[in-house]
Amino acid sequence: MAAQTIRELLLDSVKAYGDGDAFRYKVKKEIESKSYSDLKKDSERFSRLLEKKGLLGKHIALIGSTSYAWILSYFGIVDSGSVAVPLDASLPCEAAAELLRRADVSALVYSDLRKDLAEAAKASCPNVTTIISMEEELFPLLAENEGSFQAEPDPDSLCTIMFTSGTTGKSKGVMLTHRNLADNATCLDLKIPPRTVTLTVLPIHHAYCLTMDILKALSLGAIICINDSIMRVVKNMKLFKPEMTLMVPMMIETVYNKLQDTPLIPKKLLAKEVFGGKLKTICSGGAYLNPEMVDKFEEYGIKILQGYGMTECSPVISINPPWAINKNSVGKLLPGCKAQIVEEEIWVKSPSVMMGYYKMPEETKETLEDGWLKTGDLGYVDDEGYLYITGRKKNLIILKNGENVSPEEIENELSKDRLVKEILVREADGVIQAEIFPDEEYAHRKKIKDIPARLQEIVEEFNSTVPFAKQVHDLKIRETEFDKTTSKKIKRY
Amino acid sequence: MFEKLREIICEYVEVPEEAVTEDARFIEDLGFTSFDFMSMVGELEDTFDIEVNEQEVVHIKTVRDAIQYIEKLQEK
Repeated sequence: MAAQTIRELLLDSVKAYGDGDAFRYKVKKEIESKSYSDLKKDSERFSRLLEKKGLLGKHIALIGSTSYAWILSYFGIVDSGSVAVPLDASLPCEAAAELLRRADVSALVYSDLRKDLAEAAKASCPNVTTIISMEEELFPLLAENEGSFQAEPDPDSLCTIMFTSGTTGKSKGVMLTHRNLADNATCLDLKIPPRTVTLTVLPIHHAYCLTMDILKALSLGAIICINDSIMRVVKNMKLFKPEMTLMVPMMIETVYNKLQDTPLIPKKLLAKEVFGGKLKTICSGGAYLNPEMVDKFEEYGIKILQGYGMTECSPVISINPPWAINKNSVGKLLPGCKAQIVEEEIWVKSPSVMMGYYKMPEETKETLEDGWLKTGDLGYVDDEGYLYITGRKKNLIILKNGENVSPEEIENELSKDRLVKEILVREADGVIQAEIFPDEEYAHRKKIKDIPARLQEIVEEFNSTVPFAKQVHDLKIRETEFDKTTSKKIKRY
Repeated sequence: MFEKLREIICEYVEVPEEAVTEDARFIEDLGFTSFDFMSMVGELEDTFDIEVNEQEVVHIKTVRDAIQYIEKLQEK
């Protein structure tokens, strides 16, 4: 039975697995653990803290890499009927502060690596009245607020706002309810036994990580090991010996290349060396996976379950079940999820489809129609119910790491320099490419002699203001104007 | 140091050894993805017995930057 709220999901698991480990993570060189009961106890203390500060029902932002502190805060927020706003830990400070204002955030819980945002919030976000450091303040505050907290949030009320790249350049706050997330995490029985050891390596502000790595794993009674840095994925696999992990295609390909480098060792033995010896399943999502990878990993005794989704659908829409993998498909629709194809575009309807975009009625109207979510992806469903993606309708770049990048957002920024007369941003060989037609007249007037060098500088200035995934790593310079449509827009394709 | 680093780089990307010069940029010239790069840095921690700060890694653009960064950490 699918859970209706995140609170219900947690209580069911506490009942079944109580003092068993829910989390394992490294502190200095030692492994520490927290149980299902610890998570309930600590998250209820967090709820009491919110109550004491008059923050119940308010919007609370979280920023930091995956940690027990982040997760207990999240449960404390949503289980008390308040609204969590997870933010990308790699966002530049000003962009993150902007989201705090746009999401009407009243409190910020931050990891010390984002002290800059805490300072910025104090200075430029008057509505943020409470700011809590995960490392320094959180646990003493929990100790002051001992006791339980009872609340039963309405399944159809707002639970979490997650920001996603928009096609117009402005990121959109996807509003998800308790039912959206709880249903997405629990509606499909993947036949994974309780106490399975998992390793979480993706950024936790992504819906895919939050729903699958955390909520689904907790509903299964898994032991979730927390990867401390993206640099140490392989090392942590050896340490925690996971049986299952979620990855984006970029990671799968890196690991594969690494395996290829030592062809003399028998494959299964090598897999044991690289993956810690217990890994059986990798869930892949967030971007297109080369189907060959499914066969290649099978040789190492590892099943890749490719899925498909988007934040607006909490996020999973389809997944390949381990007993019926079709490597060319993104899997079967989740139970309760219906699809229809409208002019080649995939539309879906399910208990996981979002309420809408926060304070963006126009964009919401464009994306939702009679409860159907327009995915922006082109594709079809075959007779056996497998879903296939054939292309994209919306103009959004999806990188192999699952990061969605709006080309217009980058074009608008780079165009601010007068030297950039016309520009197109696209993906080329896995990196973001900017093709620029420079304004030679302007260069002449401003006595810019080396145009390519100046353009490179402009690109580098831009790169220093955005997260790694959004940086332009390929610059192409044109000598002629771009082809235009009749309405004078640059032709993209 | 350079030789060892070159050997490790070639485990992550398919480039001829000659392409790995001190001036080569990891992403643009050698074809690293961001995850390739971060994983390699994780491996360098073990190889050169250093502890890397994830925040500082973004400043490493070229092979020379990486060598200088490792040397700086080793001096500590």
